Amino acid sequence: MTIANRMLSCMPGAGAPITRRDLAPLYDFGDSYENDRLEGVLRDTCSAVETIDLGGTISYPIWRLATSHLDMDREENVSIALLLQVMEMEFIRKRLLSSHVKLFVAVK
Amino acid sequence: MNDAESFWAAAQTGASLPSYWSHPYLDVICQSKTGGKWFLDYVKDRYFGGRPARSAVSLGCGSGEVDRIAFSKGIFDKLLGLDFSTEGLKVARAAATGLPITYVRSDFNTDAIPGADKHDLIYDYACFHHVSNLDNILASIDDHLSDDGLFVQYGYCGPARMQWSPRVIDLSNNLLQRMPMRLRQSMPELGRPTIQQFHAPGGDPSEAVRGSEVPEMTRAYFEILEEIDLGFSLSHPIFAQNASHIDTSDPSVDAIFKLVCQFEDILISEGLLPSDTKVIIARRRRV
Repeated sequence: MTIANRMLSCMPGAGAPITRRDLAPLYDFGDSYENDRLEGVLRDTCSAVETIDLGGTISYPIWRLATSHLDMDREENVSIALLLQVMEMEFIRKRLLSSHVKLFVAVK
Repeated sequence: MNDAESFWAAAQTGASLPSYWSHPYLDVICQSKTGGKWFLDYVKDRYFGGRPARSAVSLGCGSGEVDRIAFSKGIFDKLLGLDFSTEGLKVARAAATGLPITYVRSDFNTDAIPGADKHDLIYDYACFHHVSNLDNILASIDDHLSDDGLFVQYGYCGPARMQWSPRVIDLSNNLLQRMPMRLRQSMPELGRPTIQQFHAPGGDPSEAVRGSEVPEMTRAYFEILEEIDLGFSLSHPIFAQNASHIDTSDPSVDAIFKLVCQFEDILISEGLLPSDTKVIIARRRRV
């Protein structure tokens, strides 16, 4: 939350602080209990699993909260979205954040 | 007049262009590390009990802007300002008429702090990375600092001659590539400057002649009371050349600048990136 809110404070017309409730839509596509354990289940049941972190941890809520009202025909606003993703992936690589969206490649 | 002096004469007497260092958000970042105060206010309140230093020295005073701000804030009672730019000193003297400030020309590579007085406060504002002979000036500070006096160093301490690390180049270019070309048209991609660029017409041959040696040498001469990481390890390489394209009145452009500053600040605070700018507060070693 701290990292997300520090990035959020930079947004044009800085938005309200992010709460856990704001992150809930990330789990709309399924049950969060299963999502949290999906990687473990895959590793237990498949012979090879490659996990690729895709991010979506802070870029999504910041985008939804702070920047969805911005004119995306402006290159500068597209740039903000792209920069958030690059920064988020660096935080994930350095283990300051977990990745909320992952790609699993598994072999039976 | 040598090349470096010519550069600084032009810089301190000509019309100033928008500079990376003048972006107001940098003050916000700096003051978040020094109790919400300007760094010399922080030193005054924390180490001088809120009272002015009786006698101070400003190293690399340039045109004296920082000294006049410091005087207006009651940082010192009287000040000796030193710089090697004759033109800068002319501006400083004219602007300080009637103030208890004396300006003297000094080349820190060869000269000592003049006189035999001891001073309560000696500060360097963004000068030391231009000094080749750090031993000379640090020894002179040691000679002229009172027993309970403070040396305060504020400035660049990143790689000498801005020879950025591969990680900084990689991270910076990852960010630059996501920015509109109009914001990075002066420097679309970060690389390591060549030594010829520092000596080219319009360049500053003294720029970053020292960098990370500044805190190392300061530690060797003095007892460090505080070493405060201010950061600017990515935003400076990215925006220094592109500063004139950063329109702070455009909220989206301003957001891009602030995002980079917050990003680097988080990495530095987590120990994942060295800080290229520091405030160091030191005193004479007690034998």
